[in-house]
Amino acid sequence: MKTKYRSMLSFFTFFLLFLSLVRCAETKAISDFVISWGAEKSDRGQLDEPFDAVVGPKGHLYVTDARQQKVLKFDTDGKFVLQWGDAKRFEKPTGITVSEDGFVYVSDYDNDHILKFKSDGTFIKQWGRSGEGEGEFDSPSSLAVDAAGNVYVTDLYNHRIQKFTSEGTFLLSWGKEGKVNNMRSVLNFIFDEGSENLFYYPAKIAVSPKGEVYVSDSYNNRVQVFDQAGRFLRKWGGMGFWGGRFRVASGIAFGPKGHVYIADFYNNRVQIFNAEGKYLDQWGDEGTEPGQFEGPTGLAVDQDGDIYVVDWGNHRIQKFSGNKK
Amino acid sequence: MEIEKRSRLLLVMMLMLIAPLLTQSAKAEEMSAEISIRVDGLTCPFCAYGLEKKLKRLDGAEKIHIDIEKGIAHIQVVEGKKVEEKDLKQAVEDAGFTAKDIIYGRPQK
Repeated sequence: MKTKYRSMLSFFTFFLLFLSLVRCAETKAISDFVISWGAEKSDRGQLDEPFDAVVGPKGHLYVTDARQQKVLKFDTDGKFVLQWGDAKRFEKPTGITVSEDGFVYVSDYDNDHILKFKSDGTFIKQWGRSGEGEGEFDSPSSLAVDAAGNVYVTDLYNHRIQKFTSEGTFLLSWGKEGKVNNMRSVLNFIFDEGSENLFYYPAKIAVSPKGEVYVSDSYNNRVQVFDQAGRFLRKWGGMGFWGGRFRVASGIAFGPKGHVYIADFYNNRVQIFNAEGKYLDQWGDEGTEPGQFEGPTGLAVDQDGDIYVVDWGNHRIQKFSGNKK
Repeated sequence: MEIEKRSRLLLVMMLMLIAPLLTQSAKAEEMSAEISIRVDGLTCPFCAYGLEKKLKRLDGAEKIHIDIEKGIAHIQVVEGKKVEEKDLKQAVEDAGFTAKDIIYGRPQK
């Protein structure tokens, strides 16, 4: 009898696992592709390994290029405006964010510090060094700024979030290393995987218009949401192929209609959720054509609601109309 | 007695033949200008950049190139310097990976 139950349980588990691995045949939203740029050879505005992007208060798009060790500034039609940085200024610029008063913050993944600039690229200051203590980093991959100007940083290899004032004074940190078992992640729609406040390589962060802090807990394949004091609010996702699941959650951005856009690196798509984490829609798949991606790492939304996807492996930015999304 | 002598002589001759090969191999390890490490799971920048960073910090490592498609980390070594295998393995482990093979010199295509 016991054997019968055991084999039924095994069958059930394998069935669920099978379901999780088969990509559900969902009707994909037709991506409203507008324009792409960066991949073509050019002295002005060519991209090698674009990693992150953000739209500033004056409507410019700022992009970090980790390989070229630069920050590039474009208008919303992809027209090159200016660039700054070299091997002396950056070792590997990854995360980028802009405050409401127009200051640009960049995280340097290899040098383990945060740099602050004016919108024309004039250097103001930097803070941080390698380590595990307060104000120290092991690969700050991404950052975000709240309405008060405080800066939040994903400290990737320390598996935590650190919060600073706009001048770089340490305020607080939260989270520690904790990997969610893959099976538990896949089956979390049956049994909650728990592990709130634990991260496994948190790669991206963003502050919503409501002031909540969203973190891509990338290798736990989920998104966790916190208040500005680091108190856990909610989470969603889990490993998988179908809508609402992730295979390495990456860039986060917010639309004017309350939509939350999350880039899904290995699934090569962008997913749309509401603020509570309810899955709404998605677009994109693997490839080099417009509307296809090779590892989307960053997202940004402009004042019109149009969406910019950092298509890392295709060395380009793709712009999509936000009208239907 | 004669047989024992002959065996010893044969052993000495074999050692003499093998010794240069062993020395050469050790020298290749010590003085190789390039080291390649096969690493599984190297497909996204979040982790590939981490591996690049950890390898870059090794004493003697001059230039790092991560071939994400092939899953190989190439390390160019400073002339006359040696990068220890245990340090290479540790750096790969610190980056969250396991070193599958460490090849001294350029890998065969």
